[in-house]
Amino acid sequence: MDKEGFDLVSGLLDEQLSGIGVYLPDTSHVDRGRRLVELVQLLRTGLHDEHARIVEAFPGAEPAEQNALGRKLARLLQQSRVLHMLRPYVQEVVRRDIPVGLWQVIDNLISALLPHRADAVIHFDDDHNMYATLDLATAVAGTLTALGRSYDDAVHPVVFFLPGSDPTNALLMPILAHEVGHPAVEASNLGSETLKRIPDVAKLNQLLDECLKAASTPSTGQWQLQLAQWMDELLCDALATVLTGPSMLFAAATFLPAPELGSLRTHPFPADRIGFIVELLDLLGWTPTLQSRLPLTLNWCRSLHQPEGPDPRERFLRGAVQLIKPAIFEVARAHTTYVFKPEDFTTLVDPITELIESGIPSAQVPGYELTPWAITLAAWLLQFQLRGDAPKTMAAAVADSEFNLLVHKSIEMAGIAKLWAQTP
Amino acid sequence: MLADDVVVALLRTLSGRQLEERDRSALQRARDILAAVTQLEGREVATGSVFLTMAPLRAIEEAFETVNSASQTADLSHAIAGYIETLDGILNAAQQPPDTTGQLKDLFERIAEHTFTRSEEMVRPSRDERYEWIKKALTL
Repeated sequence: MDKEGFDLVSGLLDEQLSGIGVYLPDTSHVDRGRRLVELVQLLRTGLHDEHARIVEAFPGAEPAEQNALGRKLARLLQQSRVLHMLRPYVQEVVRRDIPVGLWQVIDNLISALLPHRADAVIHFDDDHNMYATLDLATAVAGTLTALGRSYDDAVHPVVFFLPGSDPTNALLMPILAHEVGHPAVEASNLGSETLKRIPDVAKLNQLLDECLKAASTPSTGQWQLQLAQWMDELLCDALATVLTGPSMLFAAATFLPAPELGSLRTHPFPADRIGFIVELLDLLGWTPTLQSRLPLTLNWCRSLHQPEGPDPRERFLRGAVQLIKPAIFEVARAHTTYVFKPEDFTTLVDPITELIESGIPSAQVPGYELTPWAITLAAWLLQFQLRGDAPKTMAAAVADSEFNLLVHKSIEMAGIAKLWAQTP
Repeated sequence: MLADDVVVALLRTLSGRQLEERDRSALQRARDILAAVTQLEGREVATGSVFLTMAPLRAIEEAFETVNSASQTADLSHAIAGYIETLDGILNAAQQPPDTTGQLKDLFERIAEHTFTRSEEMVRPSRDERYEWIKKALTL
């Protein structure tokens, strides 16, 4: 890059960085979400200072180094454009129309799964209509390091993406719990923790070796990365199951959906995931509840199976999951601050369902604290009771917007009742 | 962005200039990434430090794919072992043959070009890329 080109890109970068300053909201009176704005400001300052450093180094550098510095300057311009891409999320910080019940569910998920907490920003996703989370401080950590900066606040800004068409669907909230699992896995290195607890590593290595020999042109690295991705997804399924109980099974069966054939990509196959959740629920003591209330649906979930394909990579991944599974269960139970157990639920189910069935939000059961997950599970069980014990009930329940609104309102009012009880 | 810093540091090494602290930390980080890629290329499941050093998973994946596509060699593990040796030499202020330092610089030039192109596609997608999902959805 010659001097003229360098000066042009330098001017563009100045303009981009000034533009970012224009859209950043005033957060002096904002509590939730202010860390996202602070992170964008930190990146902006880092880019600005790096820009100044390159401008200073360029004139005295040799031609080859000038080329490298020119490319770096163009890269800073790219990064400034990335900052502009964060604008839709930054603007959510000052938003005031998010339903209170949604905040309560998100606060519950943060307190149960993220030991360092999180500063949530809620975004209704109209582009992909999906659940997701994005821990932005972790996502930009590499960029910050390259800029000689670091984000030192233990509490990270996390964007919660909810489907724009139906963001408050109460019965699907366990899927959001799965998504909160991702920043939990990253922040607490749960993947490494799981790998440390694998009962028989030699067997796992033997499986890898056998399958690599059977493959024609294997890339060990890609196989290992894919195993890590599958392990992450299963850890998130396990965290959500430990926290939300059987509601995760119903939500996952509907959302995946369970009968769909999986492809050999970033996620384990739906049938395998359903089997994994059923097994964990059994370990947590939920089988008698499920067996007595929805035996047909439970048996259907157990019967799901995807036949093994010819690819040795598939044999490795599915076989490895079987070997790693006990470690995942152990890590998920140890990490979640609240384990939803049947004994915490049996006395609550009837009082909750009686009110909801009458169309009244269920906010209190004297002597007990109602969690969002007790209400959600009671609501799912009520749907099976009203619509029948069959897999199609799950689709009908999720689609019943009036019912979901009532459940959502119950969660909201239970949260308010809890705050009321804590008021001195 | 790291690749550009590594290229600058290696150019300075090749011209016999003193490395700044910032250059050294870029080279050290590059070394860590290459070491992590080596672990993933092993015949045993990586249960060690790779996932701690390189977390989050997306970053490991990105680094692995980038090094893999820029290395231009069939024997990736062997090539990376050589690059790590060169980096260790530079970081310990030992004299390195210019050709090995030059090869390392060429690798990071390719990584820098590769990551730059990928970022450009992300921040300024072409019209076709932007609406690719529509084309895909219509032909499924």
